[in-house]
Amino acid sequence: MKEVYKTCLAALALSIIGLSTSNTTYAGSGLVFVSNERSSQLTVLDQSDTVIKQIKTCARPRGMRFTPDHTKIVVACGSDNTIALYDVTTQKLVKRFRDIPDPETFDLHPNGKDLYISNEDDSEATLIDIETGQVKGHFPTGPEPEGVLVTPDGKLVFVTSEAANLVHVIDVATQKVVKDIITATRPRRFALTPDGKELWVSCEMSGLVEIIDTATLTEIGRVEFQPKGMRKEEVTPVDITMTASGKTLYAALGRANHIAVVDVAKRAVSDYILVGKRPWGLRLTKDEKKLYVANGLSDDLSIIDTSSGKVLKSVPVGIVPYGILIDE
Amino acid sequence: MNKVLFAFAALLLSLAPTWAQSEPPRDIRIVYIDRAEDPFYDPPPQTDGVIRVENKPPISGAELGLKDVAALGRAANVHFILEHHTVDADADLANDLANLISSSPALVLLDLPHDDLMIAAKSVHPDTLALINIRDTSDEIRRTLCGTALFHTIPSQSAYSDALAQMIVRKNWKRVLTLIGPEPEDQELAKNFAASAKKFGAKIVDTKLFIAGNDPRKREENSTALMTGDSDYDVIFVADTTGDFGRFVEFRQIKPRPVIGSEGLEASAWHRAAERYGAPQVNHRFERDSGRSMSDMDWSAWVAVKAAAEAVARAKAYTGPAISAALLSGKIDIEMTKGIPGSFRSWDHQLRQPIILHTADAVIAMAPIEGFLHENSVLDTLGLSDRDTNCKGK
Repeated sequence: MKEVYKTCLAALALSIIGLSTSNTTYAGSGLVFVSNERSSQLTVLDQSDTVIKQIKTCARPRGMRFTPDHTKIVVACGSDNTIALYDVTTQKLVKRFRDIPDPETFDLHPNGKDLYISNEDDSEATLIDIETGQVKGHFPTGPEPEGVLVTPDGKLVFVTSEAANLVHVIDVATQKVVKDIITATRPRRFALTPDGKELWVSCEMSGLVEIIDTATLTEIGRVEFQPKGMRKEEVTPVDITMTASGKTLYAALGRANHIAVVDVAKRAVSDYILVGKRPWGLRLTKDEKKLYVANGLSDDLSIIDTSSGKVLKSVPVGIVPYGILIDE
Repeated sequence: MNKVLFAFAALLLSLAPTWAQSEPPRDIRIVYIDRAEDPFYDPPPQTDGVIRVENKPPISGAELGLKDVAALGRAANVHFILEHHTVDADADLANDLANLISSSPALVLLDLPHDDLMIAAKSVHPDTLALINIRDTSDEIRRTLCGTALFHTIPSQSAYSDALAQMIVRKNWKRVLTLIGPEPEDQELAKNFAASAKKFGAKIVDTKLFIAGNDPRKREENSTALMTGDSDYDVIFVADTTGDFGRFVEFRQIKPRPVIGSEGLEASAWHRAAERYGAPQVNHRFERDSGRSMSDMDWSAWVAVKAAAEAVARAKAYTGPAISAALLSGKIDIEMTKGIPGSFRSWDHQLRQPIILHTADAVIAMAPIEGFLHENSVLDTLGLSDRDTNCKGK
C-alpha cells in the first residue's frame, strides 16, 4: 500500500510539472539546425533557408532536441559516446556528458531534465539528468533501440527496438519496462495523436506505419505505403511527424525517395511527394507551412510547401544529414 | 485524508491496463550440433610461413542470435535456450540425433562435415523439425536432399556466382578470362561460375588451368603474366580455394582488368564492412563478444536463431514441427540486416537472401543488382530456382 501511495504521489507530481512546462511559448531566431552523422557537424540555415554556418560537433551527431526554454540544443553523438549541449545563440558547446554508450535518439521528459536515451549498441535505454549528468536508470530493451517518445503527461516512455521488432513501454513512476509490444519488422520512430490515444510507429522493413492504442497497448491498425513504380522492399519508412491538429501525418519513406502524406482519421495515404535520396529526418515549421526533409544519401534537405505538396528548394548540407531542428 | 488518498490510489489502479503476463514462460530449445576433431577447423598449412585465416566454429553466431532474440522472447512469453551437442569423433551421428530428437528440441543447427549432413538429412523424418545447415554451400546437397528436414541459411555456391555474374553483366564487363586451380573445389567453383555467366549473358572467352610452384618448365601454368597476356577480356575470374595462387593475380596480370571470384571482388553472405541496414550494429555486437569478424557461417547461425524466434513470436509455433511449418509458410518475414526481408524457398528450403559483393575492406554492391528481375521475388534471381531442380517442395 505504501508503495502504491508513493507511486501515486510521484505520478501526480510529474503530471503537474508536465503541465507547467508544456505550454511555454517562445519566439525564436528562426534558425534551422541539421545534424550530419558522417561529417560530424551541425549545419545552420537562416530564415531564407540559406546555409550560414557549419559547426564542428562531437562524433556522429544524430538525435537532437531543444531544452524546453530553447536556450540549448541537446545532441546525441554515437561515435564518441557523448551527449552534448550547444548554446542556441552562440552555437558553442556548453556542456557534455561522456560515457553514454552509443546514444542515437532520445526524448526529454516534460520536467525538462530527464533525458531518455536509446543506446544503440548496448540493447538498453538509459535515463540521464541533463542538469547533473547523473545516470539515473537503465532499461533493458531488444537489440538496437532507436525511437524514444515520452508522453506529454510524462507518465510513459516508448522505445523501439529495431532488431527485435518490439516497442518497449517504460512506466516513469515505477521506472520499469512494463510491456514489450511485438510489431512489424524494424520499428523505428513514433508520433502520438494530440489526444494521446494513438501511438503511430514506423516499421521500416515492412513498409508501413503501425497504430498502437495507448490504453490497451495493442495494435489497432496500420497504414501501408506503396508509391507507384516502387518495389515493396524499397519502401522503408523511418521518421514520422504529425501536425498539431492530428489531421495529417508525414512519413519519410527511405529508399523510396518519397514523403507520404497520410490522412490520420481515414488512415489512408493522400499523397506521395518526391524528395532527395533516402529521406529519414523530418521537421515541420510551427505554422506547418513548410516541411524540412533530411536526405541521408544525397546530402541535402528538401524543403516542402505543405499546401501545394511541392518541393520549394533543395539545400546541400553536410554528409549524411540525419535530424532537423527549427528554433521558433 | 488517508481515505482520500486510498480512493485516489484505487482509482489509478483500476485505470491501470492489464499488462502483466500470468503464465510462466515456455522453454524453446535450440540445439547446436558439431563433430569432435572436425578437420574443417584444423589450422590451415603454413608451408610458406604466411599465416592464413582459419575457420572458426560459428557457434558464436548462434550465441549472439540467442542474445538478440531474448527481448522478443520476453514479449512472446518464451525462454530461448541454446544447447551445444558435440558428436564424438567416431560416434554414429544418426544414433546421437535420434536420442536428441526424442527430447523434442524446437530447432537443430548443423555445423557438420558434408557426409554427416547427408546422414542427418536422411535419418530424420521431414515433419519432425527443421535441421538447419549453417555451413555447407554445395549446390549438390540442395538438389539431392530436397524434401528432407534440411534447411539452409548459408547461401549456395550458385548464389555466390550468380551475384558476381550479375555484377559484371551490369557493368558490361562481359568477356571473362577464368583461371582455375588444380583442386576439385576449384573446378566446382569454375563450373558454377560458368553456369552463372551463361544464365546472365556473360561470356567466358578463355580458360587457363594454373598450378602452384615456380618450375620454369611449367611457366605456361604458373606465371600470371603468361596466362593473362594473350587473350582479350574485360575481367578475370579466379577459382582458387587454397588461395596460394589467387592472391598474387591482381596487379601481376598483364592487362589492366579487374579480378573477381576467390580474390579481388568476392561474393559473401556477410561482411564486416557492411554499413547499411543495421549491419554495423550486428558487427559491433559480434566483435565485442567474440573478438573476431563475423563470417558467413556465423551470420548463418545467427539468422537461423532469429528465424526460429520470428516463427515462435509471429506464428505462435512452439514445437519442432510447428516451427518447421511456419518457416515454410512464406508468412514469416525474416529480418536479415541486408535490406530485404528473407523467407525460405519451398523447393529446397534455402533462405532467400541478398549476396554481398565486397573487396577486403569495402562493400561494393549488394546482389540482386538492380535490373535483374524475377516473377516471384528478385531474390530468386540468385541460386537454384525451382526450374533448376527436380524438387517440388511442400
